[in-house]
Amino acid sequence: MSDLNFVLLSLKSRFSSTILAVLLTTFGISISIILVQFENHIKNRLNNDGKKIDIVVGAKGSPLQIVLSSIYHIDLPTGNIPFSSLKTISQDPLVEKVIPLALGDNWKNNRIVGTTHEYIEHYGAKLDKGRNWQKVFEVVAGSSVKINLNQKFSGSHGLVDSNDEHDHGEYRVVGILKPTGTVLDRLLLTSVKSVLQIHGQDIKDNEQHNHEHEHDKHEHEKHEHQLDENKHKTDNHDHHNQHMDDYVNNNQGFMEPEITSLLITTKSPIANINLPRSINKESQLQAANPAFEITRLSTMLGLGSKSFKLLSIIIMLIAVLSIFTGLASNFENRLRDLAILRAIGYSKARVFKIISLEGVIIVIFGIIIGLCSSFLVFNFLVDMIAPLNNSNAKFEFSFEIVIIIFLVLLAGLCAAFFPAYKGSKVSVAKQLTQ
Amino acid sequence: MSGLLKPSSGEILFEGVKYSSLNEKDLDSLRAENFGFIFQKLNLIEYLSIKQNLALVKDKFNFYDVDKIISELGLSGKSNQEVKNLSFGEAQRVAIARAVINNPKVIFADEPTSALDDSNTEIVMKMIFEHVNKNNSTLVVCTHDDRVKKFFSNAMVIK
Repeated sequence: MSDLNFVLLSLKSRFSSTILAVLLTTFGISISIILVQFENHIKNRLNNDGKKIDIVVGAKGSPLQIVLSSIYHIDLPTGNIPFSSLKTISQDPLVEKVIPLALGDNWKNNRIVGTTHEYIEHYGAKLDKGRNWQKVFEVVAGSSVKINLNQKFSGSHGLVDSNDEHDHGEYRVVGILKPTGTVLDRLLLTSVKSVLQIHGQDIKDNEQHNHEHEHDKHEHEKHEHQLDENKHKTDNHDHHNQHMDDYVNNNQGFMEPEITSLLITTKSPIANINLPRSINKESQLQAANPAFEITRLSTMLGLGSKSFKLLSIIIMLIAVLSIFTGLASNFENRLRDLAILRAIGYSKARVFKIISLEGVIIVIFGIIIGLCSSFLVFNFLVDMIAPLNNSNAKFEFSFEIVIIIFLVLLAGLCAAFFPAYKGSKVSVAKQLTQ
Repeated sequence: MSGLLKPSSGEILFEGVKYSSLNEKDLDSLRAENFGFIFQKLNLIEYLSIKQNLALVKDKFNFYDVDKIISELGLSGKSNQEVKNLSFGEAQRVAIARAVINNPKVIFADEPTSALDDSNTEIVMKMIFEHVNKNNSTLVVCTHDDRVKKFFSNAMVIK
């Protein structure tokens, strides 16, 4: 009979303690893996959503709130800022790109965001169906929004679902984006003008979509002619500024319209420090540095995830102890069996191997079941918890999982070591003549 | 004599080889290949079946047929039954089979009949001798049982 066979039969004979040890290992592994998944998901989302957004400008208030509300769309904005600030800031030589955002309404918890086509381009999103918005009240939906092409809807006032629907201004979905794995997936995008009109404001801009047409054309030409990259960047910036001038100049003389925030890409890292300083000093605007705010947020949240990590380490330790007690319990009884093996010619090393193998098998079963259950539980949680569902959380095999598996295997071996050592040293004559 | 304990003084030799000259691993091999044991308390592994208990023994020449031996023991229908569910008499037969299955040169039996009645003592001793004669093995029995004396030509009495 092979040693593996013997070990399996031995584990079967101690079924309940074996199952207990396997289950504890499973729990420990599942919790660790699920924690790693959530942590990675949050980290990836924070990185993807905030990619190349160097500064966010909003109304005076908490900079973290500005970042959360404008980049990640998970908090309320601090207030509104004058539409004219778009021009002022886009003219700054340190600025490469400015994307205006006008928030205020939602449809079934999906925020309606008034912006420009640059917002879509920024995240590299492509249309899955339909076309981009051209006229007022035309909307392009993110891939996660449960809405159909050509569907008409009215936005509800506020950024969370309510019955307070606007009775004028019905939106129509003209395009649906492909999934991007970014915040864009759960937004409804339209022109700034649409959002302003819904709220009784207006901008004189008939040029907006024309401009964007021009901009698209320009982009197209850029690719066709394979312009020198630096020159291209400069052109692009000049073009952008020109666009902003037209956009804002056309609105002079109206009651000052307001938007929510501006997403800014700067030309250099130094600008990321200097520009917020000057904006905060000289205007009623508040500039926030997303990288800085998110680091601050992670530090705060880190405390919570650390206690979860501690919990999973404790569960792992319990699992290791249970493997140890599973192997060490009834050890006196087992010593007799081991002595029999020794008497019929099994070497000490072979007995050591047999007991170690028991520990390893428990751990391997724990790992396999733990991996499967963490996958199932993670997907279940993603289905149950709306923010995870909305943000397309997906189970991903990462290097951390390999490390967890390795550590658990190691811990299992350590737990098996002592009983294995003691078992191999059994005194055959003493055990069998008792 | 079986090499399970080390002598406090003197030497034990098997086929001219001193035990003291062997390392633990070699002594394990010597035991596995040359000796068979019948213990007083049988010492079978209870959660294993008859077949599995016999299969634990090293098959040094790759020659023994577990099923055939089980059938010779009269336990054919029970080969997959766990040892703990056997009667003492049945378990005793399995323990004897385990001791002789590998055609050992020496069989050590420690009080093999202490728990048996007269008729079973008779059966067990005949069974042991049957295998001893078949394999031309040496049988060393340690016993307090007077009923066993008549089976032996040589006896050493320790007082």
